[in-house]
Amino acid sequence: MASTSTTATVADDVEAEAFKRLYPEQFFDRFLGEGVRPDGRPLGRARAVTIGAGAITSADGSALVKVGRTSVLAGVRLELIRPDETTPGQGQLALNVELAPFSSPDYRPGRSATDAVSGVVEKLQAALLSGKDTVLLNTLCVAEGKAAWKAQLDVYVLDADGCVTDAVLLASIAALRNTRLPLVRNTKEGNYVPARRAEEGAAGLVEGCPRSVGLGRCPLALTCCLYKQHVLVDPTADEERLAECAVTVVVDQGGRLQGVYKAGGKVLADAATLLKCTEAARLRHKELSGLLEQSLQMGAEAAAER
Amino acid sequence: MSAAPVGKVVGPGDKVLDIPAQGTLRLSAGLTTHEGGVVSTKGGVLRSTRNGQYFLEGRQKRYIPAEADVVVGTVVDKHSENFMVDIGGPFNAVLPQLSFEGATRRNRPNISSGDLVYGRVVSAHRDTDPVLSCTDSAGRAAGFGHLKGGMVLQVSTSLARQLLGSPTAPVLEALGGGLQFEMAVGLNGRVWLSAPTAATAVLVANAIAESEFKTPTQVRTMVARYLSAVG
Amino acid sequence: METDAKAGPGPGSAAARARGRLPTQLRTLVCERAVLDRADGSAKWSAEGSCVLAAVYGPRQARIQREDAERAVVEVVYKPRAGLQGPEHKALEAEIRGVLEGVIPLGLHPRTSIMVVLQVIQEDGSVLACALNAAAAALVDAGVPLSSMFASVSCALASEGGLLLDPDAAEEQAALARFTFALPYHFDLTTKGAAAKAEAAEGGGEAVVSSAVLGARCGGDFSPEALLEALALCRAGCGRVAAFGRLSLAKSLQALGGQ
Repeated sequence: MASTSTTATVADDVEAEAFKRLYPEQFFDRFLGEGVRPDGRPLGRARAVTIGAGAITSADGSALVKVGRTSVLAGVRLELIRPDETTPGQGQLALNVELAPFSSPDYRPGRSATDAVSGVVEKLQAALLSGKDTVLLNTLCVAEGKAAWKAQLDVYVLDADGCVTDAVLLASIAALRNTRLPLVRNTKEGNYVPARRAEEGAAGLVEGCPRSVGLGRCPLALTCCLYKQHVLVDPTADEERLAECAVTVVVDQGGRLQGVYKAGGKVLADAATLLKCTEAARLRHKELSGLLEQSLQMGAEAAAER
Repeated sequence: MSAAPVGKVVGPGDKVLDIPAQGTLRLSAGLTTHEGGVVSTKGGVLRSTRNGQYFLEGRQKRYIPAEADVVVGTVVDKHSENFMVDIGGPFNAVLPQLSFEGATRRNRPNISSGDLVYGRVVSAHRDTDPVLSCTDSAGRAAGFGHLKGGMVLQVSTSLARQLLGSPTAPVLEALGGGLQFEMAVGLNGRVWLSAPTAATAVLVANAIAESEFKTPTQVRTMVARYLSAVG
Repeated sequence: METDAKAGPGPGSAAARARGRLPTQLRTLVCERAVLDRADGSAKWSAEGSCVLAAVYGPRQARIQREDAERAVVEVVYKPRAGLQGPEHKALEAEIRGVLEGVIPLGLHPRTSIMVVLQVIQEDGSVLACALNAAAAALVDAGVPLSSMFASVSCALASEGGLLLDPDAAEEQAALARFTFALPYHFDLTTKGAAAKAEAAEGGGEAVVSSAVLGARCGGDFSPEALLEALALCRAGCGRVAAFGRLSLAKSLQALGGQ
């Protein structure tokens, strides 16, 4: 009896998978009719998030973020440079986002890989740098005109299962906040070098070194996709591919919007839909900031122990 | 029944007519039905033919094959059973080697790559390559087939429609009065011309190309000027 | 092909704009159609300082790697005024492609590709809106079937708090937030629809602009209320762009004898 029931369920699975491949829209509509999605979530619920700040000990700052199955790893590497002549009191932040080849079945090596993440890079750039009030570059300055920190933020998308922009932004913010800037020492020749742990307290340390990257705002994103007349919050890759129409909203901690992007014209979005998406983004921000603080706390403790 | 705004400029997505409760409505290029009304999908001037068929007259260069159109095509490839013909549409058309008058398996037409053919579109479904035929429905040549010699002039699809329409286009009337030439007009915007001298062919080609945006009187003056220049 | 698209006096009084423009006033629009000989359709759209040339090729056979058995593939190439394409231009291409895929019935021409090439000729603010309008005009010129026309307009939230329609580059730089929307519109030419509207209005009536957006791109520091206000203002602006577009189309088809 037991063996026949297991074969029956295996055959059912195969049939369900085949139906999903052949008739993706009808497969989806069946679930939406009941008010749920294929992974069991109601339409308005976002996926569970885990944030691992300080996951990479060799980096100056890092964070591993998982939103459902979407996994993103962000790392920050610091370098002391001479500031640009036009901005003597500011450091620099360089961004790089890469899609791992195993992250998605649609990955094609070469130019299309960079094109696929260009939307994500652009939104990350806009969120972190264009307002000039998110990442405060003047907090990266050590000695005006002579030394400043350059932070190289590398983000690797390890698994792209929908809402990559949201995960990338969250990982970037977590990695930047997890970054501890070392103390800086002024050598006899007049060079500025980072002080090693053992030298703390020795002579020649620069006064008033910044110890962390200043963040004026904490922007976090939420993507919702519009499918027929439904609004699906935090879609998976399958849902994104089917709907072809997504609204990404970037909010900061005060509930102020930092960006609203609608891509794909298959479904029109009226004022009510846009408001729905902004509300969902605000709720998500509250949820995520709590998790972020917790994770950064744990990461700081772990770093202190080392 | 609401009166159709014939002669008005319409753009894509415009609601042109309400579908009447009864009666028939014949719609052609550029018009479709949507939610109980007739909606246009292109930009153009709304016109109606004598038998009440509505269509949009616009200036389009790209040809989209439709059944029963006559086209001038260039043979690009010769396979065992058919020719591939470039008719200016998104895909090359298929012309079976037996679709010529008097063609049999042993007696195939002597057409090679680069030759011009005048045919009609037998089938033009969006999922398949269009199929041509160089005979009419009864199997006779009826003017279709291989076009020998001459030159091809590229015009817009709307001008080609004008040249084929009735009453005769003013430029053709004016030219026919003074010159001798042979012409095959394809609705894909290609016009084949053949005349005893190259000068005549060039003159006719220029006259046709220039006549697109002129009124009938302007056309007549222009043709008269050309003819007098040639002498 | 020149038409002045000025609005009546708008509400509020933001700081004086260049050349005395009102906050809800669009810049002078110019649209030239069929400018390129080889392309299936082309259009050059300018709004005083910003100018974009759009060319449409298609529907034509798609490359094997790109073809889709069930629908046409829309390809967009966006070339900046100077320099090479960067990731921000690739992102713009994806956005413009999204908007066009919403209005072109792709199922009509399977296995084909419709390529839209946009070249920025001059940049002085609201370039994305200009590019979208140029693409729309070029598609109409090429005779590509569209389920609806669309218009695009930008606005900026000035630091003093007012909204400025169709900002130029200086206003965009100084703004707290920038908004660009693309909205579908159509004209209702049935006698029922035209009955109420005066026949004297050129183009056969007023444009019916949808209240829902095809595409949106907003960035900066703004509240949801500001977002909705900007949407309403851009919707009014789209109405005027639509009226201008229809006039321009009518002029270009004058030779065919329409009115």
